[in-house]
Amino acid sequence: MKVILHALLSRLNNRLTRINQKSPAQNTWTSLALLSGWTILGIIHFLFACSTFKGLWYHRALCGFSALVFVYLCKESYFEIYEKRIKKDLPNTLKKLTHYYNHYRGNIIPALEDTISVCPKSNRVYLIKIREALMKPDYQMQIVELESKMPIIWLKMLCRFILSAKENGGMSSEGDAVSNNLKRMTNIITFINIEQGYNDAELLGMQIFVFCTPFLVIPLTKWYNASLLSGLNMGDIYGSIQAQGLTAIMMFTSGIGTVFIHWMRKLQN
Amino acid sequence: MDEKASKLIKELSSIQYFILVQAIAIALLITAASIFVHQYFRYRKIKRLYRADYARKSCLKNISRFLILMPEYKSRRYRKTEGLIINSGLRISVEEFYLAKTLLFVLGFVFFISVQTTNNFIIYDYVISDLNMGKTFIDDAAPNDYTLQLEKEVFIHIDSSLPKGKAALKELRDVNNTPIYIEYIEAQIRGKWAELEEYSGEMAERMYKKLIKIRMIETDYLTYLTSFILAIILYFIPNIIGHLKLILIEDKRDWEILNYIYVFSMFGRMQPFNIKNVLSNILVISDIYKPIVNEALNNINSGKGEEAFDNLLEKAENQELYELLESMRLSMSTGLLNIVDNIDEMAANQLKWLEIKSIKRRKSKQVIAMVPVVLVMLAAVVYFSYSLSTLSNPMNYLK
Repeated sequence: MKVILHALLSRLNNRLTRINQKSPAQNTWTSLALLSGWTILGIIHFLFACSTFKGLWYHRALCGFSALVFVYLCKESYFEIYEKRIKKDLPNTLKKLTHYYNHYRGNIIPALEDTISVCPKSNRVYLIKIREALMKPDYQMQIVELESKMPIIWLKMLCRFILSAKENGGMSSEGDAVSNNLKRMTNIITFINIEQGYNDAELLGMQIFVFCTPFLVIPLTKWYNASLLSGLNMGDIYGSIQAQGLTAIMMFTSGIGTVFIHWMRKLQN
Repeated sequence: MDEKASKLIKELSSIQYFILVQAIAIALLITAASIFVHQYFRYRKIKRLYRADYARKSCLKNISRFLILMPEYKSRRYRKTEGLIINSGLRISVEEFYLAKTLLFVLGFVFFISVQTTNNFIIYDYVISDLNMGKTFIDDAAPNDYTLQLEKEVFIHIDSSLPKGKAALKELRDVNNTPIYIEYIEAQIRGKWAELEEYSGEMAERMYKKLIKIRMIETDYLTYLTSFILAIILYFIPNIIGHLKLILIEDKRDWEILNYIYVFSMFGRMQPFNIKNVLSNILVISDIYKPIVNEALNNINSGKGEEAFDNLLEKAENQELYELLESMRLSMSTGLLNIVDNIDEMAANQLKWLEIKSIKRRKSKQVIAMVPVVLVMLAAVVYFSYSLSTLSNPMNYLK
């Protein structure tokens, strides 16, 4: 149990570290809080799922499976929101960086400083880290190390461009390559965000629908039918083994279906 | 499982077929667990002497001997599976693939069989202790401990006086035989429980229906066959995942190649103006085609010129990747800066092409994603209509 908890915490910590660029030690409490929060949510979900069943062993196993799926989706959604915001704000950040880079005629440090003060909040931390790395004497090593900690590939590319700008002033026989490349990168990221956004939106809707259906259908149907049938002494009609089997099938299909659509979304981007 | 029901089944007859099936399932689980435990200790022993990686491989090889349908090394089936694993990017060995398949089958088989046995036990208990069989819910009588106990005792007696050999299910269900059997049962009840004389006719009819239901449960092999079929479907889940991934990954392949083209276009214009620098930057963003990029970089590092790409061009199935590798190959002789403008053009074309492809693929993905949506909706509709069917005609609600 201790080993599993440790592995879970360290994986969570690593992912958080990539996103907020804090040290693993600084993120320990956040990771613990997140894990506890998700566990509490999982327990609430488990109790709700259990309340819909009469308590056979495989019903409880199914509730456990459903709770695990729920916790996994909570975790993935949390990180997805963060990562999407970073991707969404990146073209704006790059536009500003290109502007200041041209304004300071290829001088990357003041360009970074001005960009940091005006860029979207979600990207600020990465630019601060890049600037800090560039200010150090062994800036090449620092940038390489930073690159490995970046959450998305375009930020890794940005590290490489900025390193090149620092080393060569961005000038080449073809003009200012860094400035042109920053513009290219802005265009491609904008295109990818729009196209992948379209791809994602429909599947996300389906995923939410598949996940939420049992939680809407089961209580509402029970409430509606119980109010109609209680007078006929049939209020507990969903207590029969057939109805319980149906509930189990619906929850299982919902859990598996949600994970499947999530997997589809993850694969395409 | 229900203790009352298991006790009841023991009292009723010797060993039912579903108890045998359950025993087989448990034996299968115990065998799998013992192999796993044995291999785990073996792994720990080897790990102490050699590396963990070697220990893992050795144990996997050992376990693969127990996997009945594991193909022989380098046989046609082995190579086919290997191809599926590589192309779909599952990143496991063939042995692990077959281990996952077998485990899914064993666990699925044990789970479904156990669910079925639990349900059988509950239905068994429910049928035997049902005092209101054949009555509408309006005429339901509330049972007490005494009546329940009596009902069970009477049924056990009737079941033993009409054993399977004497009264087969087919004979029991024959409408022509019904009055004879009911009469016989009534005589049995009167003979042993004289105080029930007033209700013996009604009880005999009920016992007769119960006997048919119980005998039907005892011969309903189909439910267990469904469990077996479900376990077989689970066995093929890794294959299904692999093939689905092959379809779904198409989009990711195209995005990755678009990224490669852009990285080529960007780093091709930057110092030190060589293909090695471009490839090392492409390697940072590569995932599906990482082995190809890595091989190209290794070939260049080992001093090969244009021939570094010869082998890779044969491996590239994707047209855009082929063109990109060909451009890289050309740049070795013509110089990088002469090629970069063409790459820009290639990037613009790829953007347009991807836009069109995305629309088409979005539709096919929607169809795939609709499968769980439809299944959940179907389950929800059946769930909702479960009580509505009773509500539409409450007199049909026969217990």
